[in-house]
Amino acid sequence: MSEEINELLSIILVTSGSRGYKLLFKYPFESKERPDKGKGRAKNPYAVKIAEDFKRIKDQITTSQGALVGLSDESLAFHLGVKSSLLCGEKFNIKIEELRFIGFPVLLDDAPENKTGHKISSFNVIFVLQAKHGPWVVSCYQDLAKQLSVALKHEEERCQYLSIQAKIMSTVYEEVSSLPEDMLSSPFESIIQKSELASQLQQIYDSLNQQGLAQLYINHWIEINFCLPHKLHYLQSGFRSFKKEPESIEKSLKSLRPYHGILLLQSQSVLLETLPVDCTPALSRLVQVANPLRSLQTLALEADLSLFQVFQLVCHLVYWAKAVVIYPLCETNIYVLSPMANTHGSSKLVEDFTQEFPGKSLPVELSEFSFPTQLRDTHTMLSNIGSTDMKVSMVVWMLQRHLLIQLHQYVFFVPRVRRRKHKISDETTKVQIVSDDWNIFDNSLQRSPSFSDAASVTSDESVSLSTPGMLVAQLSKSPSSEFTAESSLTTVTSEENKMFWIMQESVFSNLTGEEKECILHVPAAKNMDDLRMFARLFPYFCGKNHLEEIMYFENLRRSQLLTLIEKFKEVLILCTYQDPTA
Amino acid sequence: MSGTIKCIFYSEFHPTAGPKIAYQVPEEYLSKEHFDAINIYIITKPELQTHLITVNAVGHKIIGCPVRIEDKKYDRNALMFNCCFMFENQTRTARYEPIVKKLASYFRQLELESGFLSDEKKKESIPVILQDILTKLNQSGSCGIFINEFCTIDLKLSSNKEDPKPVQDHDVPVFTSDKPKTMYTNWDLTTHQVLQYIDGYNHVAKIAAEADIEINLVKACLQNLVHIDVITIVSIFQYSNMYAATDSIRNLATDPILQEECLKCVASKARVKPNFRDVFMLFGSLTPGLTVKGLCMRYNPRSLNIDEKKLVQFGLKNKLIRRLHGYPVRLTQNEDMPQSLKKISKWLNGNHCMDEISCKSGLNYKDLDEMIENDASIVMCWK
Repeated sequence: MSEEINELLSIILVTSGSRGYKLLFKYPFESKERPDKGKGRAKNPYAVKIAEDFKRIKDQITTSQGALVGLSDESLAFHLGVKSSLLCGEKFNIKIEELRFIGFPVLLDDAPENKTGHKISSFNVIFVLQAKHGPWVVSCYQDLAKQLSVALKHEEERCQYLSIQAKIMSTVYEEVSSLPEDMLSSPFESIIQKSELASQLQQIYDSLNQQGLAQLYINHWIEINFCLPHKLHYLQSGFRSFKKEPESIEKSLKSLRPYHGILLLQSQSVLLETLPVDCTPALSRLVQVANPLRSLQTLALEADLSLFQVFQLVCHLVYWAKAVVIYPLCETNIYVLSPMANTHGSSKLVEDFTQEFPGKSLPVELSEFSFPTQLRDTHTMLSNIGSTDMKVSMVVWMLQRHLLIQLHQYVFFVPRVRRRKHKISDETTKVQIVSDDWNIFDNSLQRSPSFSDAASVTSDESVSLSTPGMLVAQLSKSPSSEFTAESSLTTVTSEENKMFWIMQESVFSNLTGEEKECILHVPAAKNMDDLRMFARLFPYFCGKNHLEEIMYFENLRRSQLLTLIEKFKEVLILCTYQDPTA
Repeated sequence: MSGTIKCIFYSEFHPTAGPKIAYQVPEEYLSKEHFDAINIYIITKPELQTHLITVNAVGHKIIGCPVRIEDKKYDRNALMFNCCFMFENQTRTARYEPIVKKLASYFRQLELESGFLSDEKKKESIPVILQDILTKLNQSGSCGIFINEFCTIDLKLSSNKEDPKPVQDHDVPVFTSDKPKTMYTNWDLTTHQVLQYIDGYNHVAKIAAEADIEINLVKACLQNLVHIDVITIVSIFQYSNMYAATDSIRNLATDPILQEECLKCVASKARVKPNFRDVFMLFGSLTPGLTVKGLCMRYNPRSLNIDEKKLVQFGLKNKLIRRLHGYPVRLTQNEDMPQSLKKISKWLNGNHCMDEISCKSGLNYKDLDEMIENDASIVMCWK
């Protein structure tokens, strides 16, 4: 963390008005160690003005330790104080070399004439970022800039808050510049002390960089409550950077299912205290019943909320890095050390762990999860109930810090056929059909483009209606009933024929003859019930749904499912890997 | 997201009319009203000259690099111009930035040498040039435009890729496809030398030793090859290695082309293709805790016509499996330790994997493993 330069480099407040552009405040200003010369900002004494060289010029404007080098206050004010009505009320996004300026300029329509004669016609709160950050990060800051600007505009119109603050700031400027040479100090320092708005901007800068949060009231009136999810998640996990893939948060939220559970990252009491006063009571109810052993479905019942609402609240908690989505803890869960886990022998994690579990060492416990371990295997023969509890709480602790990942088992249908390649074209169309089938399921399961939608998708009804198995069951109904009618006529009651019928079912229709034969060669296929069950579960055998998901959708017990897989093991292969959406 | 160039315009500071768009292809893409709103970022104050500026406004994304040439011969003692590329709002434009800068320096050079921009007659060829650049860059990503006998404007779009990670001593380079055909003609001498030793099993330190080239040169050269997709980096093969399947393994189950390629790659004998079920089963049974040696003893891949080395290589290359690295962690901090461990103690903090320690200390894996195994104060984390 420390070696990383803050992504937010500076906050700047600029106004333009009857007396031209003014840079009212910027933070951080030059630190005292730097030689301050003249009012405003100091030029780096070593900086040589190179006009000829295209390459070296770049260095002049990029930042050194967060300060803006190479642009004077006047020039910042000129470029950032937007007057044009075409640009005001719109997102402001200018990139100059390695710096990106994000703002939301606002035009004040009918600002009343100030006594001093200076009238603010527009203002802009600007965040200066390193340009390398992706569009997602940029849009976060864009949102915050908009929130601040709109709040400030409202307060200006309500009670001229901005004008008053601007007056304070420019008075300080004048005072400082009238001081004798040797007493010159940066005007920004005294501005922070005198102006409430300036000190709030300073707070925003500090808390965004340190915690990824901004919580304040503009003029004690309008609440700003904002977070940078990527930063929160990064800080929370301590080592795993979400910066490269902020979409991963969205992705995992879209794949939320009723059988998932949540794991709070703070203790319930701490979390409840930090919730804003006006938050929905549903949220605190959910937090109170939250338990890593229960599924969301159960939590919904316990908190007396609809599943839909629980989904939305969970998304909210995850976004704010207050909780992670897990599969509820149970004995059959398999955990393994995350490839991203920090295994350093002496880190803060290790200290925290020893504090939480005295006498235990984190590296030792981590090394026990080097290989996939079922939760029930962590109990030793001699352990009593107390130590089991401790093991579980250690697992919870490690899950909260993303040190462990859960592995799931997936089933693949891979028959032993002599020639898997037929004609390639033939094969691809086949695969397309299969994937088309899946699209039906996918659409019904995860058609959601947004967070809130994600919740609605897996509400009870849609799940029960749209599971692959149900579809199969519906489809398989007609041929088998037809068959009974027909067979009673022809009085051919051979098992062979029944099998033939099942094999004609839609789920198998895409298979080649050889593949069908392979299925029929399995001894268990002679048993009608087993074969029917196999047909029912067949759509799951392509590695997309883990055992737990199949169990949930098909309402099966683990033992039933495992028995069936065992019976058809000649054509199935089990694989174990992490759920890609987790 | 990676859209095409919508418009290129040449704007200048007119001695009487101020900032204006002199030429624009296609015409009227950026209206005068919009240009006036943002012209302070296009014809800029002197302190921003030759800085790349990207403006996201008025529904467009505009990249420019303002240039100012000072000379008494100009009307206002300076010539100011900016040749800007325009894109749609959401386009990722980072890869166009070097081009804009390069074009600006071409124009500047042309003006200094032959007054290309100040001579009214010569100037008239600008829209044709811009049109040419626009069409060619959008079509092929590069262009070479003949201006006069001294100057050709050469521009090429670089790919949007991130710089590849630095190559480690213990990494193994492997060709992404069959050996490139051009390999013996176009490369520089070092690359030429290094390429001969890339066989998918030699690690970087060994290649450097065998090719008799300084190791940092080899690394730089390999990193370059990774960047242009000729090779990819996998981990070194040992029978004591452990691997785990990743979720990409399901691509193998569903993609017939990948299956074909896989069967061709992993076969131990060129003529007999292994059965796909066997191959998939071997991939599926790779799990933390089971070494390749263990896998061989359990399934005897050779009898299934599968070469386990090639199997692992194919899996790593296509990210179907990932290697598990062992990270030894020494639990005590005291200096009291057996003589043999002293040499490697600085790597026992849990941040260095066995491959790295083995490569840096020069100890072979077996000895190293024994030393660590025999010391109760060291635990091993596999991840």
